[in-house]
Amino acid sequence: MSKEVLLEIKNLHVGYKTHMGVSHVLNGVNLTVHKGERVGVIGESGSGKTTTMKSILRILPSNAIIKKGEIFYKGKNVLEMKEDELLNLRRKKISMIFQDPTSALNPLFKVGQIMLDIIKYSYKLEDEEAKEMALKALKEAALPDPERVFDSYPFQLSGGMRQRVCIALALIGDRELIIADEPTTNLDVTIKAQVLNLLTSLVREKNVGWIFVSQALGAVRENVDRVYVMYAGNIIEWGPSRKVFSNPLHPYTQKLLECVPKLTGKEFSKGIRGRIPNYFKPPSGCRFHPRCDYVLDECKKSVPEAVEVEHEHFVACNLYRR
Amino acid sequence: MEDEYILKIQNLKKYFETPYGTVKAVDNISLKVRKGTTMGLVGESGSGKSTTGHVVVGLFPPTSGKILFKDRDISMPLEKRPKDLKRDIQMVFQDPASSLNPKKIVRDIVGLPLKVHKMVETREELEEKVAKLLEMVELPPEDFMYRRPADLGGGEKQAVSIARAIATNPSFVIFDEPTSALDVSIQAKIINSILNIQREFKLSSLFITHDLSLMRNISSEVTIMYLGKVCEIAPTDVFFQKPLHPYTQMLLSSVPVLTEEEEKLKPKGITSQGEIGSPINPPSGCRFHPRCPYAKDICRKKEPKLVEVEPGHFVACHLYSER
Repeated sequence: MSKEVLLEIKNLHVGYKTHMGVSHVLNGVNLTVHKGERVGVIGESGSGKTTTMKSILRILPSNAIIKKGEIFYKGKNVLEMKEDELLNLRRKKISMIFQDPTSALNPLFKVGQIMLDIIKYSYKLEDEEAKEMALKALKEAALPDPERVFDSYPFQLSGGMRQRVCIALALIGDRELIIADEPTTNLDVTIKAQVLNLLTSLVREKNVGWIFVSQALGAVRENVDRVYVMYAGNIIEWGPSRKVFSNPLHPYTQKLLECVPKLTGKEFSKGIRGRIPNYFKPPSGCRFHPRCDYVLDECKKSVPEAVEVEHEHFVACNLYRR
Repeated sequence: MEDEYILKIQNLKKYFETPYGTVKAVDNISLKVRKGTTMGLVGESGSGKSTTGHVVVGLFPPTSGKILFKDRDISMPLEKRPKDLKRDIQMVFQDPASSLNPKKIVRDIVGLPLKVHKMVETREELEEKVAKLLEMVELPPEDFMYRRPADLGGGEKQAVSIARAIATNPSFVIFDEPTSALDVSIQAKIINSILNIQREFKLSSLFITHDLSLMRNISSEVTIMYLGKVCEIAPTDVFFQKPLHPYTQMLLSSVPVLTEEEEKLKPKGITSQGEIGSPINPPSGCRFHPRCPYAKDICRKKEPKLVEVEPGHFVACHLYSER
């Protein structure tokens, strides 16, 4: 492929040390984002989506252990970067939008102050220029009356507006990669649609890479080029969004898609039996095998390798080997 | 002859006094729920859907208006409500973590309503009934009877709340976004048990949600609310084929979907714009007019009435009234 690779995660293993022992969360995650590409990551809570995203920026909690793996950003391994390189990465190259805009903005400062601090610190600009940059960013995020927003405390804004402020902050300067971790989960249906439309159009306009992490499968389907499906710390299936959603291959993906209620009111699923595994003692082999209806003997033994079933559509499942 | 409606809400108002002014959470709404059916109550945050549920179950007395349950007036404060009515109307809340007492075991949580309403006499009888209830929500009683909420997953907690709600054998249950805090695979399980219980007990219910796809699968009629008002009421299948109110269309067009088939059901030519107004100082006339692409002069001045445009399909919009 001719497209330039922006981010490449290779065989990432991450665990957490707790008083109950070590939990083995990420179990060999592989993920690639190209320049200007929109990538979705879907999975249920506890599947390791957020852990993966936090590893990219190295903002994992202090009890996390990166056991194995590499994360290349434009060819450089993030896991081996020095502190000043990392800061540069976080301040200018990659930014993250979190689920809850209320807790992402300091309630004691006005939006303008928050933005100015970040801009002045990252770009070493004077007040005037920094303010201009902030207002421009607010305007781009389709906030009506940027001057007023600049002069407001976060609590004076609605949830949707707060998330727009976070988007404005995330897109300041020349970003190359935006990580949005459940950016619309806390918002109302109509506001969700507005915020997602804004994000996709900004990402396209500025040609930045975008990782959209969400449990809202429909929203991911409509807004990304390629999608990765996570289950219990593994990427189990990936490919072009349309293909994965219209022709899901992994038994987990198939079940998960069935579980989503449809507007047509057809076929309501009975859910997936069992629950997500205990990470202190994860199942051997394919981590989905205790819940899988098609389980084979070899599924219990080793983690299945990925197979390309159709063009660029991969699945890590023994049913598709050979 | 018995009435075909189990619940009738007539001109219900619920205002809250706050230091910033009066919040008109529910402002003059009327709706009816047929016996043995589920009414879906849909709206965004601030639309008054939960408040409506809370008033029906008796958590707040109404400011004005009437609620008739099986033709008995229940619009009095909760203390004055007869005990048999409390038994007959139950509620399942959105957040199972905060609606279960963390210090009690599951047996006591589910058994409490049975004790309060003196439906069991001995401890053996109580355990037997609780075991049956737990089986109904697909929690094996031998595993769950003596556990505490902290040892349960989100879906299991919600299953316990449902078991508690049906313990007294109610004829009406209000579900207030029972699955919005859960993963989709767990949501599917919970919804399945709700559907089974509804069938088995011939339960009537009010199902409050913001998820239109979920509502499509569970209710037979839909009421759409916006800023304390009802904008549209319709049988579910008619509603999806022919949404009339511009707000309803905007809501439907905003739902992200998974298949091409669903894509066809989404209204075209309308996109989401603006944000919900303040319930303290709501917009004049039609409350949706600042966000409505079809707003005319009359929409700013006069509040539209809820009119029946075809049998069973009501809409409150000037586009459809007095044309």
